[in-house]
Amino acid sequence: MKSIFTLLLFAAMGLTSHVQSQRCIKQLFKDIKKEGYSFAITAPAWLVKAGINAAADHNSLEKDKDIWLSLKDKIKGVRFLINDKSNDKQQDIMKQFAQNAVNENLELYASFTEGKDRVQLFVEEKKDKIKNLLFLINGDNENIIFHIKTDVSLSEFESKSFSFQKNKKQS
Amino acid sequence: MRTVITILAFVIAYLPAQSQNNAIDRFFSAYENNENFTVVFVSPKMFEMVAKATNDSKNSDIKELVKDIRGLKILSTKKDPLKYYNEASKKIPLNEYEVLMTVKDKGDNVKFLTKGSGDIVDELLLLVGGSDDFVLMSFVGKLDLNKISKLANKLDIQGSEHLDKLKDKK
Repeated sequence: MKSIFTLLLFAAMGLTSHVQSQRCIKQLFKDIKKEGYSFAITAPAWLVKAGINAAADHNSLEKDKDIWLSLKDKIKGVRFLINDKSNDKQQDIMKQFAQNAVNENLELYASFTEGKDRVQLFVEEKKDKIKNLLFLINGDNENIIFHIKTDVSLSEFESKSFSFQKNKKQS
Repeated sequence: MRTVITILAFVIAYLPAQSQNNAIDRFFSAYENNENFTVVFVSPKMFEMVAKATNDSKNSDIKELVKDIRGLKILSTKKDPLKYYNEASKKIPLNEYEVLMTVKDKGDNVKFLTKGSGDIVDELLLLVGGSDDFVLMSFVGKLDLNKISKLANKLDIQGSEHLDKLKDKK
């Protein structure tokens, strides 16, 4: 009984840490929108799937069609926000989020800074699965946030690239 | 008492290595928020992801190289490049690194420094200073010096073209 309880406790802690990062990304969008004008879109999983299917039907995806079709069930949602006249408060919110992201299970994978422009990629990875991809783009007076919620495993992604390549060679 | 001394000996032996890495990190940290600089950071996880996602047979040698890179940092500027080159030369503990190669190329001073022995090194520093550019590039990982020059054209980042000169090392 005790071991089951301990196991449940650990599982709850793991789930909490994942939910925490989801919540903090959601809060980031809310805080930015609260402090000034911004344009934001949220696309749930079914809409992303429909969009990929439509693009595949109209041959818009070209040689990556197979990869996108295999990944469409793994993309759980997409959020996008842009404000091209950001104020100091919104800039501060972005900077604070980036500084504290590691506390929210988001790891900085790459960043590029040139002058006042900065692009950062944060990833939450859990058991070889990418759960959240977050792009933060800061400009002089504009911000862009692009968030993809996924369930893609890195090994799956690798095998899909390989099988696609194998199919391409055989045809 | 003997255990305490042994532990202290290990700590003291480890400290100099840490202070070198901290000196380089401190140099990066001093300028990473300076608007006159271009700063690039790529984490080990990013290289892992790129290596896994690269399955094209044309890029198999890049994949082999990338999978062993544990990190990349680049700091560059076009403002007062020689000043920063001289500053970096003084602040970075160059006596702890082996000078692999120095090149003077069209007014640019280019230095390649490595940590580790043979053709597989643990760290590669590229220091460039001239009339136009200052570049400090740090690669960490198990780096094959014979292959890393292939990144010269692939990276498409200011300063990375100097990596091609590694082909000429003897």
